Amino acid sequence: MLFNSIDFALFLPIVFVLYWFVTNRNLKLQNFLLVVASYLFYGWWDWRFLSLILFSTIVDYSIGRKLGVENNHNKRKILLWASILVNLGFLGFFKYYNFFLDNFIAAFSFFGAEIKANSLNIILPVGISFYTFQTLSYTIDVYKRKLEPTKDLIAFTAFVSFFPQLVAGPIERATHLLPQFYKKRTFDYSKAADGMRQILWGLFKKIVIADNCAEFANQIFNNSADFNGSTLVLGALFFTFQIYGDFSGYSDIAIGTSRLFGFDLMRNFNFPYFSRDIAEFWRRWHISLSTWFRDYLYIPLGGSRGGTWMKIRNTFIIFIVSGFWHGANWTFIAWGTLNAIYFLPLLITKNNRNHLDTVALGKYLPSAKEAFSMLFTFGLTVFAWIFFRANSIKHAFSYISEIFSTSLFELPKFDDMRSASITTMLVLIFVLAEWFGRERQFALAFKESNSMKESILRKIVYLIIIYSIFVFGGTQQDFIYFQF
Amino acid sequence: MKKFLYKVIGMSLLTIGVLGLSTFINYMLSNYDDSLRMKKNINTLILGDSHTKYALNDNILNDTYNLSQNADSYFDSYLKLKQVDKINPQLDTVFLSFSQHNIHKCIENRWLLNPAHLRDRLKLYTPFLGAEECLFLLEKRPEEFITGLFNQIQYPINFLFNNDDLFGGYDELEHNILKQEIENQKKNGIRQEYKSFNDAPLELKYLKKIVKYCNENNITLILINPPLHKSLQNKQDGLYKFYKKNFSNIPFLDFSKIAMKDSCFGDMVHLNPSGSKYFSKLIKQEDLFNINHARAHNFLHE
Repeated sequence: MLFNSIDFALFLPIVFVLYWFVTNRNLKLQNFLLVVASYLFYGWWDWRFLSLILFSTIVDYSIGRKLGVENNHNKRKILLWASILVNLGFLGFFKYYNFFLDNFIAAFSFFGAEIKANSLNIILPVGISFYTFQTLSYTIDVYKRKLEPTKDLIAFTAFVSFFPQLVAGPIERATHLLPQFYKKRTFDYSKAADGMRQILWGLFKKIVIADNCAEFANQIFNNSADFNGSTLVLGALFFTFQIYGDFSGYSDIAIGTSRLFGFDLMRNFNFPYFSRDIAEFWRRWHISLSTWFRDYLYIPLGGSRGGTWMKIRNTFIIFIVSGFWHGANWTFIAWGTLNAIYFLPLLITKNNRNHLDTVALGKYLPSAKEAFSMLFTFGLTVFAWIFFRANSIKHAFSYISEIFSTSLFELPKFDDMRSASITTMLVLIFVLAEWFGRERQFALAFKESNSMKESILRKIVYLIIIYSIFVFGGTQQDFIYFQF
Repeated sequence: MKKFLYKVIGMSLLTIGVLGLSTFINYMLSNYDDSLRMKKNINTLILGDSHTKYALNDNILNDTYNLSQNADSYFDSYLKLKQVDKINPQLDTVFLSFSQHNIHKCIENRWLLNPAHLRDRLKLYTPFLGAEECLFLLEKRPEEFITGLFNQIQYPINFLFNNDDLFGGYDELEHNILKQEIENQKKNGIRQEYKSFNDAPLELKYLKKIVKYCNENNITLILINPPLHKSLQNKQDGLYKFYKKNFSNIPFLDFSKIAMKDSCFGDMVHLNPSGSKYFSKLIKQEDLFNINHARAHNFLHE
C-alpha cells in the first residue's frame, strides 16, 4: 500500500479508530491490531512475501529466547551467526543472487573459462533491506546483552512489521522501538497534531517535489544522449531533489503516522542539503542507516581507533557496504566509494566533526563562508547522485563527460519548458521553506499557540499545502527506496 | 482525543468548504466563459476530437462553431455539450466526430480512462459535472476525480487570462509526418485501432447519453467521419457494424473515403491546413452539412 494512495487514506483512519476506540483497553489486543494492520498493509502489495517476514520474525524471536538462557560463549556465537545467516541469506538471495552470478560469469570468462548458468527471475520483496536490518539489530543487541530478549511474540511481531516504517524505514533499533510495544500508549494531543503536520509535509515533499522532479530526472537520465550539458546538470539537480523529497517525505509520513499511534521513531533526515561538509551530510542523511552501520559494522571493525590505515580501511568498508546495501549494481558501489573519497580528507585531518550544530543558527542568512561550504558540499553530493541514478558506470561516465563539454554553455532544453519552469519554482519555494524551518524537527513543525492570528495563519498554510498537493502533484511514482 | 478529532474534522470541513466555494465560483464563472459562447446567429456546434478540430475550419464554415479538442472522449464532449447548450439557447444542431478510433477500446483506455488525461480535463470540466458523472468518476478513477476537484481552483486564472483554445476550436495542424507514418505502417503494420476492433463500452455509454440529451432538448445530432488517408479507408468495418448496431437512426455523414491527395494530410488521420481548407470549402459549396445534399453526394451512410 502506498502512503500517497486512496487505499492508505481509507486504511489509516480505520486503523486509528480501531486502535484508540476499540482495542485501547488491552495492550495485547492493540499490538495484535497493529500486526494485522501491518500484514494487511504489506500484503496489499504482494501477500506471498508475508511468509518471509513471518519466518524472519519467528527465527529471530526463537534465537532471541535461546540467547537469553544460553551462557556458553561459543553457543551464543553460533546462535548469533544463525540469525545473521538466515536474514542475510534471504537478503542475499533476493537482492544479490543475480548480481554475483553475472559478475562471477564475467570474471571467469575474462580468464577464458566459460561457465553456463542462468540468472533467475527474482522479484525483490519490498522493504527487505529495511526489516532485515531491523530484526538483525534485535539479535545483535540481545547477543551483546544490551537488550533483554522478549517473551511477547505479538509485541515482537509488531516491532518487526510495524506498518509505518516496514517498507522504507527509518530502520529502528530494537532497544528504542521494542520497549514502546510493552507500554500502554496514551493519546497525546500535541504528539498527534505534530504527527498530522509531519504527514502533510511528507506528502508535499513526495507528491509535489519528488514526483514532479522525477518526471524530468527520468526523462533526462533515460535519454541522456539527446540532451546538452546544461540540461544534464539540471537532470542531476532534479534527481537530487527527487531522491530527497521521495525518501525524506516517506520518512516524515512514517514518523508522523507512528506518532498518531503514540510511537516515537528516530529522525531519519535533518536538512542534509544545508550541510557544510560531507561528514555533516552523512550525519543528516538517512540517519537510521548511517548509525546502524556505525554501531553494527564500523565500531566492531575498530572504528576510528587504531592507525590511519585502519581508519581509511574502515571508512571505505562502511561506505562501500552502504552503497551496496542500496542495490546490486556497480553504480551504487561507485556512489559509496565516491562518498568515502569525499570523507577521507576530513577524517585524516580530524575535521570530520567540525559542524555538529545547525548552520547559521538563529540567523536568517548564512555567512559567505557557510554559503560557500554548503554550495560546495551540495555540488559534491549532486555529482555523486549521478552515479547513484545512472543505469551503469558507463552511463554515468558518458553523462558526466557530456556535462563537461562545450554544450554546458548552451541553454537547457526541455520538451515541456512550462512544466520544467513550474517544477523549478516549486523546488525553490521548497528549499526556502526548508531553510527557514531548519531549526525544527521538520519544516512544518509549528508550535501550538492560543493566538487566534497564528491559528488562522497556520490553517491558511495547511490549506495552501493541501491544495498544492492536488494542484501541483506530479504523476504518482513509486517510492525510490522501495526497490532497496 | 476530542480536541484532536475536532481539529482534524474542522480542517477537513474547511478544505471541503473551500472546495465547494471554488466549485460554486467556477460554476458561475463558466456561465460567462466566452470560449463556450456562440455568436447569436450561429446555431450549429461541432464537437469531437482532433479529427474534427483540424478538419473543419469554422472560419470557412462560418455558420458553425467548432469546439472540438484533441483527445476529447465522448465523456468530455457530453460535459461540454451540456454547458454550451445551457448558455447558448439558440443551439439546434450538433456535429459529432465519429470515427473508428472514437469507439475503440484502446482509445478509451488512452483517453477516457487515462489518469493523466482525466486530471488534465477535470481542471476545466469539473464545474460541468453532474451527480451521475461524479459517481461514474468516483467508481472508475477516484484519485483523478478528487485531484480534479482540487485542480479546478486554477479555472479562474484560465477564465481571467482567457485562452481561446482551452475548450477546443479549429486549429491548424502543425506536424507533417505522413511519409514517416506510411513508412512505419509498411514496417510495423496498420495502427491498432484500424487493425482489429474491440468496442469501447464507456464511450458507447456516453455517446448514447449525448444522443439522449440531444433528443430531449430538440437538438439535431449528426455524426461525422472526417477524411482518412486512402490506406485506412477500407479498414473501418468495426465502425460501420457498431453504427448499424447502436445508432442507425442517427444521421451519419461519412467523408472518410473522400478522394484527397496525400498533400492534404499531416498524418494518416488528420488534415493539414490546406486539406482542411479544401474540405471545409467543399462542404460549404455543396452544402454537405445538409442531409439531403449529403445523401445526393453519397456521403450519408445508410
